[in-house]
Amino acid sequence: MNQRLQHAFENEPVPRDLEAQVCARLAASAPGGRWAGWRRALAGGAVLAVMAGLWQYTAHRRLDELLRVGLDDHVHCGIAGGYPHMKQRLEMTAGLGPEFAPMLQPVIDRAAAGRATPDTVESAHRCTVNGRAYVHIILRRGDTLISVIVTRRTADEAFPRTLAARLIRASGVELHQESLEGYAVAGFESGAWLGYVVSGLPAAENEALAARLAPVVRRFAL
Amino acid sequence: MFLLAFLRSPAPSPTREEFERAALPHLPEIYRTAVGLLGGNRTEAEDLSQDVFLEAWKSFHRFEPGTNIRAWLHKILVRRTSRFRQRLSRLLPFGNKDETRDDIPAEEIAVEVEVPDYLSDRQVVQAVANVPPPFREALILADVRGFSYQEIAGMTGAPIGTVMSRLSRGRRLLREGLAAVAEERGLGGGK
Repeated sequence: MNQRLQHAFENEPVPRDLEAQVCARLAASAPGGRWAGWRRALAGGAVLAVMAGLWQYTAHRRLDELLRVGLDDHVHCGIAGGYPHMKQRLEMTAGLGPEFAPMLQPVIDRAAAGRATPDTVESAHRCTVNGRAYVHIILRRGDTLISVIVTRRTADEAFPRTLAARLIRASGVELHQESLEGYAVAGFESGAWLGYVVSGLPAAENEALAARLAPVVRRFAL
Repeated sequence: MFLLAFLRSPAPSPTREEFERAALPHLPEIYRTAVGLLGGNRTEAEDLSQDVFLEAWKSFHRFEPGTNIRAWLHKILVRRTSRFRQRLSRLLPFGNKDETRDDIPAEEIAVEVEVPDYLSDRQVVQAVANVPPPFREALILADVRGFSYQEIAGMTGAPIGTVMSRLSRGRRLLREGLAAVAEERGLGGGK
């Protein structure tokens, strides 16, 4: 060691507030542990995963509730057989009422699109299930009944997005589909209404049908 | 519960008071070394000293109590200075070449620099600061701070032979620099 050089360096003045600045920066900084970064990242990830899981669970329950609104009517009228069987078109349009009568033919046309044997119309009526009013068209495809349902939605009824349920976009309409009690239930929002296509068809077939019908329903259910 | 247990470290973390008690007494020395290593740039030396202590605090759990904290702080300083110079050299069109030679005779290495008494401390520090970086680094760590070749090699990541070579070259350049300063001021008798 060179005494003279050391002496010269020891006489170099140190900024008066340097220690205070260092202490302030130390106080503002957390110490690192061997796994501190990983621990924090993992803990953050776990919290996020739990929150996301809770959010998904809640959203999925809400989606189930909303899809059951359509399923209830399908089961009540179609499966339990309580629907009025109709043969005449006039009867059907009268059953739908002036507001939804013009929707009948476009629904039939769209459902039949691309099919060798068009679906037959079993009924078109208004009904009430569990105190809720529905506009209900029932089609038959072979042995399977298909319900096209419209019901007024309340202010708090909106389809949540979930990872578990399928979300399909058809001409600007977001369709949510799930299998409930052995039925394929597709639901969508349409202005002040909720629309449904419910059937015993395979999920993909019901989904394709709902994607064709949803834009039509949307033209009338505003 | 698992999450809380996981978040709590089983090993006790060192407290800030412990760190400050052990490290802060070395702050003036670290700052002064930084001034020399950064070629007399006192503003950068101030920032760099703060960064050194912050980095040391963050990795204090790796420091083994009872070992040489002074050398450890200097090692952080040397690494940070080196990174700082690398960043700077990318901005500048020309840099100093790191000249190394491993075949320095032992007697040449042993020759210390005689600093004339009539030069002020400030002039001496500036003369050291004017030595090109890699030689200046070895010069300061060995002749000002008294670290061994082995310790300097550990701090800089250079082989011992390179450290010796740089030190020898640094001393020669400092000798020339001091002579030039003295001559400039009409104080000495030239080289």
